[in-house]
Amino acid sequence: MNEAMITQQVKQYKSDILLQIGQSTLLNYTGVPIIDEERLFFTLLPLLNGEEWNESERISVFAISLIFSALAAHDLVKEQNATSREQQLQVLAGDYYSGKYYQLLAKDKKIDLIRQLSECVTTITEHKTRFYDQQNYTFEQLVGSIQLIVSKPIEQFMEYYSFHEYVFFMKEALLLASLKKEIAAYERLEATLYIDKSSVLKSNINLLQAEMKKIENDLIQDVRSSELLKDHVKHAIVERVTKRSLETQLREG
Amino acid sequence: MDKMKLKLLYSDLKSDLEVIEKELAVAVNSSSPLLNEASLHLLLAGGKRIRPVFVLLAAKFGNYSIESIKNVAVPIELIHMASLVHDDVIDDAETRRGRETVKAQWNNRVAMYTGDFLFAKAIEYITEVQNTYAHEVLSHTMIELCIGEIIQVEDKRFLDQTVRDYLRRIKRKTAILISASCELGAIASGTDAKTVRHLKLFGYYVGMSFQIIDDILDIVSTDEQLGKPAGSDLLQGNITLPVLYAKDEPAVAPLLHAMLEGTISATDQQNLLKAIRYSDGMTKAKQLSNIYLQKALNEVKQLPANSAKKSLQNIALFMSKRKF
Repeated sequence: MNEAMITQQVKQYKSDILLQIGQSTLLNYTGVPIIDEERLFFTLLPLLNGEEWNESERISVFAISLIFSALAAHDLVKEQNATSREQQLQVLAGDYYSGKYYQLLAKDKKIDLIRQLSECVTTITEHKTRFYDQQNYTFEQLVGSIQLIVSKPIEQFMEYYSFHEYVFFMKEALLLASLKKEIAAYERLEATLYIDKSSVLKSNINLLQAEMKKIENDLIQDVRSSELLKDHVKHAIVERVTKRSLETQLREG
Repeated sequence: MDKMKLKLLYSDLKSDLEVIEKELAVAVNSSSPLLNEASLHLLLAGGKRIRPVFVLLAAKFGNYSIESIKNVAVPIELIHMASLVHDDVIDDAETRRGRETVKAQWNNRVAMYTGDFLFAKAIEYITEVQNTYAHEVLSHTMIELCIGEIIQVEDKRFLDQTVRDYLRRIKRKTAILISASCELGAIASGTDAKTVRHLKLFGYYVGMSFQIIDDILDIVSTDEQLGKPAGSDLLQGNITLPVLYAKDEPAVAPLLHAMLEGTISATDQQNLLKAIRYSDGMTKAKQLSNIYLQKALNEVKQLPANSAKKSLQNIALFMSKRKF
């Protein structure tokens, strides 16, 4: 399997997921649901690496993607004055995608997985509120929260289907991608999800950048030396992990 | 006062409802201080807990056990609470049940997370029920509830809608969750299929009647009675049944158009409410609510005889005749 085939597989999944949740009013006002292809790639790591993959795994990936779409829709609701029709429907879009994830797994009779994933969602909301309450969290705790927010349901999915060995690569890569996006937005003076909300992160941007660099270097090393991952998957991971760094370097000349 | 009268109608369930209330407090407990505070804020605001009551009463037609049926009653109430928190963001509502809303006390984002937390807790809770069909019913209900809300946003300020449009909207927005409360209570207690069907239909008809009455009360009640500004649904642009029936009456039409165009004065807003209050629309809406009430009572008649049967009948009558 080469890079083009991997990209094609991820895109096919994305379009299959979108087919599950077409709702004309939501499409008109809130647009296509957010499905992050990079996150989808890391969710599909076991499949791309040739692990046995059945219809249940496929449906569960759809469900996990819908959980992230739901949470992403709600992250787009403004803190104040969400009175436009688009904003009102953004609220409902998130609820609608949540209902769809539950329905998909209910029809597949995966009650135990429903339970585990709903526990993930409660944990994610708890960690999201860390950026809104007045408690004192450390730098490490906040970075840990970001990692959990961006990866917990996928970790649960991988544990459920016994793809334990992939969890580490997925979690580190998604944390890295998230931090890169945050810092890039922060440097462009655009709104961020976490940095804007935390004086600890804001006053430690250099530390955040150093942390990012460390995760990237360690991850590339771990991927290259992995006995689990096949060469085409190693190549695809490294390419994704380093892509944004190259883009940043080029932009900065 | 009305809430107290309602409680008298299901006084047999008092101890079981206390179990549900305690369980709700456990369910909303969170490691996040902020979510804890926001969820408790909602819980303490109270509410009629009418959906859990329907779950419990429906379960009385099967093998009733509060220990197992609470796994349905609690999530149903959590779903209702979560949808109210999100509704308050959509409606930009400052108060509900006489208290500040979560979005007013904190902000929209915190309200979104609180609602998400409650929805997730509800799903987590109901996974104690191993009947897969029950999960299909609840997930379908959650989706339909959302579609009802989506249609409501879409239909706002749109006067050319029909009574059928309105009925389809309230079916999804309100009736389906009450219907699911009855159906799931019955399924979870192993009630026979025929009785489940009657209970499901009963819930649907009561829900329809209840929402029509709610829409009438929005226009006739005072701020104090509602715990929110009177006429707020109409002023938000929601075209409800009394408005739909009264929209062409000479005393109503010009004021209604001015309201929808955003050119109405505060005095005329009150005049509009008054005009609808004394219109034929109000009578017609009450008549339709009564038709649904009768349908609900017909379903009750076909249920096997037990103490819950009388309670369902009394609650249906009360809900459709309530003053606020």
